[in-house]
Amino acid sequence: MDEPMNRMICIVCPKGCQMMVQRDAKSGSIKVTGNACEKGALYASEELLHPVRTLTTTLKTDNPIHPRISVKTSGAIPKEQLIPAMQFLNDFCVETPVEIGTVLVENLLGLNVDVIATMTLKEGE
Amino acid sequence: MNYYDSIVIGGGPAGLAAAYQLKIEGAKVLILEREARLGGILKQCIHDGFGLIEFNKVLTGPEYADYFVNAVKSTKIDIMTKTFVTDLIKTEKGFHVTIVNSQTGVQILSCKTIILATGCRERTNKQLFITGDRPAGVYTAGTAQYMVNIEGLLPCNRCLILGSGDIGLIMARRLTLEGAKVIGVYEAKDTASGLARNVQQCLLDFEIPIYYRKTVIEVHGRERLKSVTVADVDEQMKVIYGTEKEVVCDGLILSVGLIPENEIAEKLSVAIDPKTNGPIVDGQMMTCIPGVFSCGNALKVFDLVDHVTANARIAAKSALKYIQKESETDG
Repeated sequence: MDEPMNRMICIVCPKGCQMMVQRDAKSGSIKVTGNACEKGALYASEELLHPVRTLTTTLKTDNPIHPRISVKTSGAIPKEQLIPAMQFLNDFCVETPVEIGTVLVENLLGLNVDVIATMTLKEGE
Repeated sequence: MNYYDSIVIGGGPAGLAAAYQLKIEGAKVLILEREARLGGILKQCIHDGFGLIEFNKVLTGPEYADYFVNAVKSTKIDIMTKTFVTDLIKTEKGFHVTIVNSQTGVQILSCKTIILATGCRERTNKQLFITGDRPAGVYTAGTAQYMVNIEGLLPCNRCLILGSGDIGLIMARRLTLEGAKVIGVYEAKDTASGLARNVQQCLLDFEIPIYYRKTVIEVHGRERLKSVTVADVDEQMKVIYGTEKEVVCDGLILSVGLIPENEIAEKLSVAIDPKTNGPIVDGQMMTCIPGVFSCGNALKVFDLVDHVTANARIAAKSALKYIQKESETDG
């Protein structure tokens, strides 16, 4: 017996493949069609079992000219953790200068991902 | 007088890629940028999804810009930031570029070729014929993006997004994450104009509705936006009267199209294609004025920055050929 067919739009690349995803109830194996690449199949399986997203946002800084620094999570986090993560990150203030790639928050909410700077922020630049 | 093989107008993704290509192939290049920092619009596009073609990995906008800014700086290209171009004049051997900045005042530079990499602008509510008051709270998606991502300000608490361009979709998610309520995206056509993946990850992920064949026809509020009137439109995008509804909101975000910016190109009477609003170019990105090249969103609005980079390289290589040919004739 197969579980219901799920229609999905792939978010891995700008192509946005329309995929059909179905799980076999007995074996648990997941069948994906409509994907143009392997990354799509991987995304579809993850999306069916437990959707995850990379969070990109900004943090406050101590620099009056550049009050925000852009950041991202080093890996994807569960979708339902996006809003809690945003609330948690509200309290951080980053000391500048900062180089791109610097870890600014370690092990965000115990999710085993870090928050890293996606830009270099130096005084007066 | 300072002389360059090529002057690149604009330090965004197109200008950076063109200037870098010109420089590594031996040309004397200058980048003119009106903002304090290079990188153009990528600086405020903090979301990811860039670089899949160019780098085979997923980067955020600032990361994509960082790569090219470093590449350009490592080659010691001349860069002038906070500098405006006020005039372009055709001369016997090339062009005179009049610039102004707070360090040197007004200056005239000379060059053999010009690369127009001035990007694009957003269509505003004035171009949409939305009537009503003129309250605060009506912003283009890019302006809202600048306020949130660069200035750290929240432009509204409860907003409606008109148009389903990619920046509008991205801002629907961004504003939601920052705590604002996005009532919905209103699109006059019957499909989203942004990428399908952005409909998924920016709207569906956050249960933000998208309404098709609906538009905003009026804004209300004296000091601050209080509400907007929405209405259905028919297949010719004409408003169907009798369907008007008032929606309470303090923000209206517009994501209704981008227009290539070519005001400075007009100084040289560069011919513009009325369909794209960008210069008419040959297959090598040269405009109708020999020695003047156009690339990136100034030429036509691209979906992906990776394509802008590739397009700018074509313009640069074409400019290099032109420079070589001209020096042969001179010598």
